[in-house]
Amino acid sequence: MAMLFHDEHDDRRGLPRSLGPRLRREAREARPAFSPEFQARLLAGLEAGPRRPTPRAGLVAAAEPGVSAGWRPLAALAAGLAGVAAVAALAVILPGVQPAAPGAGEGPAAALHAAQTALPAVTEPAELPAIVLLPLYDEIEAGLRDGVRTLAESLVELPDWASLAEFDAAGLLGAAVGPE
Amino acid sequence: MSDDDQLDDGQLARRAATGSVKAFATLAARHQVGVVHYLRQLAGRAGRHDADDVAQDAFLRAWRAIDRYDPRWAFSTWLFTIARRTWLNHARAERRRRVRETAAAPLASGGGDPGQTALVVERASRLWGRAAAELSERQFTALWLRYVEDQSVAEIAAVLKEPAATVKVILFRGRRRLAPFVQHWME
Repeated sequence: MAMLFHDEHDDRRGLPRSLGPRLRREAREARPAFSPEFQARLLAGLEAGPRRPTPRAGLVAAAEPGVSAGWRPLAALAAGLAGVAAVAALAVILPGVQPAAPGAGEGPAAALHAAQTALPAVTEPAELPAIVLLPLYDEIEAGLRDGVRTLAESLVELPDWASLAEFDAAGLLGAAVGPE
Repeated sequence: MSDDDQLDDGQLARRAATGSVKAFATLAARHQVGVVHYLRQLAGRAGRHDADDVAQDAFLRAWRAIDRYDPRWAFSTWLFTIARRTWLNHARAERRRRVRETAAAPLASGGGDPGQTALVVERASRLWGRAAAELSERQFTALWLRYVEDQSVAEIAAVLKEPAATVKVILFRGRRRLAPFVQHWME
């Protein structure tokens, strides 16, 4: 599999070794110049939009009048933090209770275990992934699609641009290696 | 040189996350050319103006989401993810618009001096232009991030939201589809 990435092996696969260098060279030759006009237009857009509050202030800002629907990510953040806090509260309320084995009986231990097992698998980082740590919203979207309903996810409002992931839905959920 | 100019991307992003427009503007200035270049090539000759508009939109989206940027990733990786998805959103909306329109008008070929525009596009129109025409968006983006942005497989995988192994296959297939054109031009 490593050979597929390293294009220095291209000649062994019948591909021209010049392909990579040529792609780089042509892109370099066509590289546009920095545009002060583009930057000025962007700056105007940044300053004209609603002033982006700090993450903690967003809990209040989301409820302020005049905050556009585009600030849904802040509401999602607030809801996500609330959800994570609720899960964390379960662990605080039930200290020293050993997680019950799957299928164990009822009671607080089983409820905590159910909440813990319902959380999405954490690969990195090791700590509970708060919404603020997730680099992209697709993790939430993917979890919902898979039908994994967690305490935090049930409270999260999808940000408006999560819908962009719909374009990749077929590719994202498809086989890792499928037809071209 | 301002204080912000001496900060790395992660430091600027942290400062921008506190509300500093100036810090984000510095970030945007650093990455403007890379994002615009990618989107213009992806859009092709007819979509240059669209590409610039999409680039603006992408930066504004990045600004609104800056507090969610994870510094474990390179800022360019995060930014290219947003740029790509913003482009896909735009492309979908355009497809819907064209379906609705009974007579599709040709897209604007860009402003400025037509001769200069043609000259700029012509330099890239051979191999990357062919790539934009022949490859899937995923293949194009993967090749672009690999050969132009020098991103790693892990970073490309993050942008495309694909496993690393899939990225390698995407890269291979993209190169394979472009190979005949290189060989032809070298004859």
